[in-house]
Formats: sequence, structure tokens, C-alpha cells
Amino acid sequence: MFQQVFDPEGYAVLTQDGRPVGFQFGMKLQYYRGAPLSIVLDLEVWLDGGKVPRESLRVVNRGDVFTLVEMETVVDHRWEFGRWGTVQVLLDPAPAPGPHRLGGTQTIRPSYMPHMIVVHADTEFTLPG
Amino acid sequence: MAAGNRIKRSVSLYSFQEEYYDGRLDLEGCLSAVASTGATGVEVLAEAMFPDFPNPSPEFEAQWFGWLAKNGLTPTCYDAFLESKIYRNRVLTLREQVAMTERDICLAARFGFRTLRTLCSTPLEVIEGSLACAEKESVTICLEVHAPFALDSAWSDLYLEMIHRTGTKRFGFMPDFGMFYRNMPPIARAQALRKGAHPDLLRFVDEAFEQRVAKGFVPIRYSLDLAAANQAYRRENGMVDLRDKLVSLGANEADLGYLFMSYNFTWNDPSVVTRNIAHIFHTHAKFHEVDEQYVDTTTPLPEVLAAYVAGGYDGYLSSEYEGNSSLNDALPVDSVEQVRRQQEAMRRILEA
Repeated sequence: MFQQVFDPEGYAVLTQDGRPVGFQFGMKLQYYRGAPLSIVLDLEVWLDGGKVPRESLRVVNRGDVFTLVEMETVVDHRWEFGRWGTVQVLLDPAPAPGPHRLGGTQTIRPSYMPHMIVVHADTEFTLPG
Repeated sequence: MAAGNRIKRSVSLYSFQEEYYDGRLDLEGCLSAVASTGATGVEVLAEAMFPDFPNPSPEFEAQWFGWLAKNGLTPTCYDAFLESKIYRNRVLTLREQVAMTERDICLAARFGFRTLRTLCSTPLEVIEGSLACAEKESVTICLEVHAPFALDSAWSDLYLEMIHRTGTKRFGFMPDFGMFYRNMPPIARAQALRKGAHPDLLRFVDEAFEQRVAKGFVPIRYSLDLAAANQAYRRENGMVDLRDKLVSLGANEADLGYLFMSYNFTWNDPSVVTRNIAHIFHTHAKFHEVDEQYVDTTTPLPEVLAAYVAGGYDGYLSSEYEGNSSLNDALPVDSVEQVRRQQEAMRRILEA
């Protein structure tokens, strides 16, 4: 498993109309090549020990924003190898600035593999104000 | 070994995935690193390192050839991935899979590659349907013979029959040295121990592997259902019994991970290469570790390379370093040094 899963510079509060609605973080694909988003079967995110509902997650790719259900049909956007992908987490209330714990699991299904790749990583981070 | 053979050496950029992932090397840096190891050829995974794949720009194309010239490198093999499961509700049709393969053949030709690696899971019909394009683009499709797949097997015979039936010169095989592992990688064993495996149970797995090496492996069969074929292969080579035995002895996740990994490698008598040399156009020199004395810790390189020389092979042996994943949980990875050692080991054998 690659070591650098989360982007240490990628944490930010998400706002809408000036109001905090969640946060975002950067994550690399845990695979040795890029892949169409549809190949990423699932993302699971934990914040401070609590699992975030799947429908609260968004993946940003080339400026487009997809829910995980929408991602199932996204075959022309690629999560590039070794590049940070942005994951948005919509939460109400939004997490407060300060220290937090983050967990993330990627489930990837490369077409040729007889099994799926499931990788989990945890980190601690400070959400900027 | 008699010098004067025409075997050339290449490096697959798969080898530098750790450095590329971490941002220590970009594509230009990878090419420079390849040249520094003494290799003259480079193999790529365009899906990993070509910007804007599958539509790289003309500007990148110019940059690519500039970097090759600067480093004195020849493009050798383009590694294709037939992503046939991009949709959740169906597998791509035969026509769609052929179109995807033709896309890759054209990309390979555009970027100067004369061979294209196709995965061992590629349906025979997809290859046959792509031959006209391969002919037009002067690219030879090479089916990767990746353990547990094997030459001189019912699986490879099906593809050989297609070669004979069509008379094609644009299709053949590329062995992967994972089929020449005589023992488990020591660095994998060390990693399992770091993760809490039991030394006595790892020894049990090692001995079972050694027994399969001595006795011979039951080859995997051709199937479009790779998961089922792989399960059958593992079962027929004793994995289920071994797993049950280990569990009864108190195996943990690290023990079982080591057991499952041991089914990713096989041993074949290297003479299988000599017998099939007329159909071999490229080779993945897969390895986990070459030590400071330039000895590969799993593959007897002198014996394997002798089989290539005996057959009169004039293609590339392309380093494919895979040891990073057995180190990167706790230890630094220096893929460039590992590749340099393997290249030097191969050079010494081939030029002796």
C-alpha cells in the first residue's frame, strides 16, 4: 500500500452562500494506474469515528462534481495515478475548524483482476478556520 | 554464456510507480532514470503516466520523442489494459473491446512502440479481431504469460492455434518472470513478519511452495471468468487445504496474506522459453529484489537468460520491479537502484 494517501494541504471548509456546509480533502487513488471513475466502486469516509452517509460524498474531477451514484456512469473522467483527487463531504452541522480524525476506504474494480482492491487509511488533520 | 546474442534490455515504468506516486519522479524523470540504469529501451503504462490518456496532445507527443532522444531510449512495449468493465451493468461487447484494443494499438504506434502488451485475461476473439489494425500499424500484440498462466499449456495452445489458423505475424507471447520464481521473495516474508505473522506458519507456506516447485504446478485453464479460473487453479494446487491447515494452527491475517501471495508465482522449467521462442516478442523481467551481489533473490537469472539465448531471442528483457509493495509499509523504496542492479545482473550474464 502506498504511504501518502491523504493530501496534507488538501483540507478546507466547504461553504455555500457564506455558510459552512461540510469540508473537503485530497486523496490519491490506491492503484498503480489511473482509472475511469466508474471503476471506483465505492468510497467510504469516517470523520472522528462516525461513518459519513454515502449520499453525502462528492468526487470532484476536472471541475465536475459527482455523487457516488452518478460516478457509476462516469467513464470519460479519469482519476489519474499519483494525482490528488478531491472528495467533498457535506455535513450539517459542518465540522468545526481544528483537529479531527479521518478514515477513508476505496474499493476499486480493475476489469482484469479476479478480485477487488479495497484499501483503508486513517489520518489526523487540522481543519483550517 | 556466449556473448554475441542480440538480446536487448528495457525498463517498464511500472517499476517506478512508488516514486511517481510520491511525486519524486515525473515522466521525464522516469525516462532519465531508465537511461541511468544502462537500459536502452523503455516500456510504458500510458494509463498511468501519459497526460490526458487516452487523448494525449500533439504537444505531449513532441515532448515524448524529445525526452527519448535526450536519453537515448527506444520505446519497446505499450502496456494496454482492456477495461471491459467500465459499466456496472454489463461487460463491453466484443466490438467495443476490439475498438478499445485498436485505440491502444494506434496510440502505441503513434508513440513509437512496436509491441503492445495485452493482459492474460484478454479473450482470444478480441485479439483476433484486432489483428488487422495491428498489421496496419506494424504493432505486434503480445499476450502476457503471467503466473499462474503458462506456456505449453491448454491455455496457450488455444492462442497458438489461432496463430497457425490465421497465419498472423502480429501476435505472440511475452513471458513474465513471475513464472520463474523458485522461492517466495524474502522481502515478502520479512513484511509478513512485520505484520505479525508466525515464523513457523510462514515456513509451512514456503515449504508448500517448494513442494509445488518440485512437483510441478497444475496450470490455470482458459476461461472468460477469470475469478472462477483463478479459484479453480488455487484449489487444484492445494490452497484450500493449506488455508484450512493454517487456520487450524492459529493463522492470522498476515499468515494468510502470505499464503495467498504464494499463489501469485510459479516455477516453470526455463526451457519452455526456448521451445516457444518463435512466438515470444517481449518479456517482463519481473523481480522483487536483487541484492548487493547482483543476485535476484527469487529467479535464477543465469538459468532463465540461458534459455533465451539458446532460443536465439532478439527482443527486449524489460525490468519490472515489484518489490516496492513488500517494503512500503515500513521501509524506504529505491526502485531506481533495484532496477539498476537487475539491469547490471542481466548485462553481466548476457555479455559474459
